Amino acid sequence: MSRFWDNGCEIRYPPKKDEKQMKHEIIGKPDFPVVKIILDKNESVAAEAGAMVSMTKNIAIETSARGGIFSSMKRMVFSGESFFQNKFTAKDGSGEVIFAPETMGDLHFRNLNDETLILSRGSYVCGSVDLKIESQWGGFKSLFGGEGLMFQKVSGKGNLFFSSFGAIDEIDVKGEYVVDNGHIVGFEPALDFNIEKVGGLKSLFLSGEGFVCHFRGHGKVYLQSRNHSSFAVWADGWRKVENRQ
Amino acid sequence: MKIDIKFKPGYAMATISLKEGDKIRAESGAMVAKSANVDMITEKTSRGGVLKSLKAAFFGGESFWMNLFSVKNGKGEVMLAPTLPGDIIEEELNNNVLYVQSTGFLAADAAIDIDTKFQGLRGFFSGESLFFLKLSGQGKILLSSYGGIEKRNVNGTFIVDTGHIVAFDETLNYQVTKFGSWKSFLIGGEGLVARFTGHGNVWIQSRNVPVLGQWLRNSLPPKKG
Repeated sequence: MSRFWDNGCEIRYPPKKDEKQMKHEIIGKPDFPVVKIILDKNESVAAEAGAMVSMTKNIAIETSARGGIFSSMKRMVFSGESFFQNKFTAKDGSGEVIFAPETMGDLHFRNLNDETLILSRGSYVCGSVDLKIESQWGGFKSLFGGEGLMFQKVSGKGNLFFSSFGAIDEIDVKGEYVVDNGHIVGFEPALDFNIEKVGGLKSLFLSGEGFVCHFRGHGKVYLQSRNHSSFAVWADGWRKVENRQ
Repeated sequence: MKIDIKFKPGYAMATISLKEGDKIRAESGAMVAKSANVDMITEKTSRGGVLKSLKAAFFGGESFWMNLFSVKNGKGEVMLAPTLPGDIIEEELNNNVLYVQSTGFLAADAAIDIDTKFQGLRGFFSGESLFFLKLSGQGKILLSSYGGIEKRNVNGTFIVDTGHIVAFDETLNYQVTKFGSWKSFLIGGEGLVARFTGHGNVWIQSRNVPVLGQWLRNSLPPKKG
């Protein structure tokens, strides 16, 4: 296995089998992975602002409000994404870019073939420029969810890389399944869901579980083995307390 | 009750397969996901007063509330994970007693008695979040660590930094002391250590919880009181 700091001078990847498949390698799974993408001449990849780790010198960066100003604004305000996104294009021959997610944890690849995937906010790392990324309101039923209020809807044809806090587990739901809101990375839109509380009234305040997503139908759910809200609450508990003047 | 632990050692997660009659008690907030037919009941673990536990739950401090999972009909599963990055290991109690550091406890068979009122080690420890649960009875337990976990068989004397202790057998004698001389204690950066003597197991973790806490404390802006 090559290491992520190996430079892109020597490209050992086989030619592309599929025009839509980017040459890539995810290195360092599952704890601290990065994705190394080898771009052919004039091939591009889009990424969330701040995701780039390193790149060869022949890569041109174009920063834009992807999908227009309105859609970028919506994405920034509602799904916690950056207003601008970067597009990386290899000029004069092939080149290499390495991207890393924000969180400690895994990076997952999925090829979307005219499909849609709903991701929780902040999960998108990078992918084909043709993929459409929209913020989507979870509807009134998600109002109590906090976490689930806004989702990112990724659709179209192309490669998608998304990240998790902790490891990613893929669950094939057939029937019903219940997932803690803070542990959802994404799911397929074929699944119907309801935001509910788990347990009785006492559990609402004392279980530490908050709200859960009750899925019904057939489809995949991606879940993460750690919960960033719980971690943030834990970290907050260590903060110094300053007396009000 | 079948336990499967995935994603070791960095971000371990335990999947517990339950059949009718199986019950598992987990640390509050540990649930990742569950089958729809798995029920959750929130209950107080110790015999202490309700008011005291409520106070602890609302005003910070350790939560004495735990969640009890059982399956309604047929089979079901529940997935559990701790808050911090790290590993999970499965152990079995056979009418012996184990002291588990509070962040090291993930779950236990409902047959296991969990005493949160045990204060034996409290006060010795500098970090306020370090206190121990006393586990006894017969059944499976899940321990979680910040970082990796190692089970160490002690035969004689063994010294562990208090922040690296996950659990230890009751058969061991322990003494909490300063690290080395006063000079080492003050400038050696080790804080307090536990000196274990006798025969038994100590579970140690490769990262130190209060050290992470202190690091966050120094990195984060203070909140208004």
